[in-house]
Amino acid sequence: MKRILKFSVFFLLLSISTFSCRPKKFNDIGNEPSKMQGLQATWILSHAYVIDEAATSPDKLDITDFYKTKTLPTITFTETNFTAVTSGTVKNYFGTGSGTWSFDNNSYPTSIRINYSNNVKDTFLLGSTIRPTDASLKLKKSFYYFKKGVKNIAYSYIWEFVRL
Amino acid sequence: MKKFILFISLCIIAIINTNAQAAWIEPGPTTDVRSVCRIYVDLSKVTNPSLAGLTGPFYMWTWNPRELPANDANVNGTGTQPWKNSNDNLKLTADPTKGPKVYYYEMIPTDFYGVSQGDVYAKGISFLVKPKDGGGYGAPDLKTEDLNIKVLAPIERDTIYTLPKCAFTDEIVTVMYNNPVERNVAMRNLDANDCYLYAKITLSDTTFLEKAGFFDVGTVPGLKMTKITEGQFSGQFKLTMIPREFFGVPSGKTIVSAQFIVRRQNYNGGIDRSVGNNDPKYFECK
Repeated sequence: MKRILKFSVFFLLLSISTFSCRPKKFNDIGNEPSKMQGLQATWILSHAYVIDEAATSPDKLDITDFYKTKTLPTITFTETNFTAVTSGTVKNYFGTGSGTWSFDNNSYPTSIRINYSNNVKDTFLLGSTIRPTDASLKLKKSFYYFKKGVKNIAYSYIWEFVRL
Repeated sequence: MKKFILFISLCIIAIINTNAQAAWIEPGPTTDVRSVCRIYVDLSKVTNPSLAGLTGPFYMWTWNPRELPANDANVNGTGTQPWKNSNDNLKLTADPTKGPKVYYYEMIPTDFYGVSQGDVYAKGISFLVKPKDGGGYGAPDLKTEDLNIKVLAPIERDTIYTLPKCAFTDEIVTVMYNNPVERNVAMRNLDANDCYLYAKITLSDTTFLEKAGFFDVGTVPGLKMTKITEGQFSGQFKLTMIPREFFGVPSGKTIVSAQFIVRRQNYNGGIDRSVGNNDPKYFECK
């Protein structure tokens, strides 16, 4: 009887230790969200900021209210094309307003390259990732000036758009 | 009684010595780190005694705001045992005018470390001083304790300033009024509806433009400044514009400079206007 009891306890402990250490199965998380698809939408400006890059301690000022004094710009990305509606806005920062676009890296993009219809190229940095589930698109662009032949950063804009 | 006085005196001397500054930056704790600075150390005030018997030369070994990589000309040490072979570029210079054991290293911090000025202000400068061969590898280390210098950013803005500082005729510019630091105390804590901007701009052909004369400013709604109620600019006022449109600058001309005065809507004399901000703000990053 003692032996049976010993064996029972032994097998019980063995089964507990075996099953309790087995790793849990995780559900398949699916495919990585496509940033290409995430960007394809029409976006309208929701917030605008200027960063004083030439100041000793760069400051970020909200200038959304200035943009709201006129029509808010909208931008549209299709699979390959880009359009911007900037008529009536405070200022156009999107060239001819039409062209093609591409990411610097389709899986992990950090910037959007625009090739405008007049073949002028421009680049906007992405402020955050842009999956289909992301509600906002953050673009950043820096502006420079030359002094005594040296290129210096002057200021940057951050534009936040939301899906229309 | 004599013993007691002696004890108290020794305590005071000990406290003074403990608090004495062993490392500092010049021109001062508030420094533009984009210009030439000197990092000073007084070896008579460091607490680690391992350099006490040495007469130099001494070298800086630094890691903040950034430790320079092995391929950098100013890396701390070279060779397979860098601690035993300090970089000759980091040799300190004696400054006997400041003390018999005072040494300095001259640098432009942003260039030396290859970082932004913001990094220097955020992280400070950390270093120690050692002879060329710092010992180690089984032998006792020869070095000071870690020395940390906090560097403060200079206040470079007037009470009235443009943001960005680098303002252009055809770009978005915000004129800012830092009301909480206004020198005319009667103007401080201005009501949100009581702040108006007078602006006089000088154009590239030396002519002037005003949106309104100083005494008429309070009747022009477009010159009313908006009070900021939250964030880092809380309490300040702002007026955002594209200067060419705002002032009606003719095409072919640009703004060279602007003078700003802030006043109350109703002006009854000097107490109702900002003071000390008449320096022109230069445009086009000149």
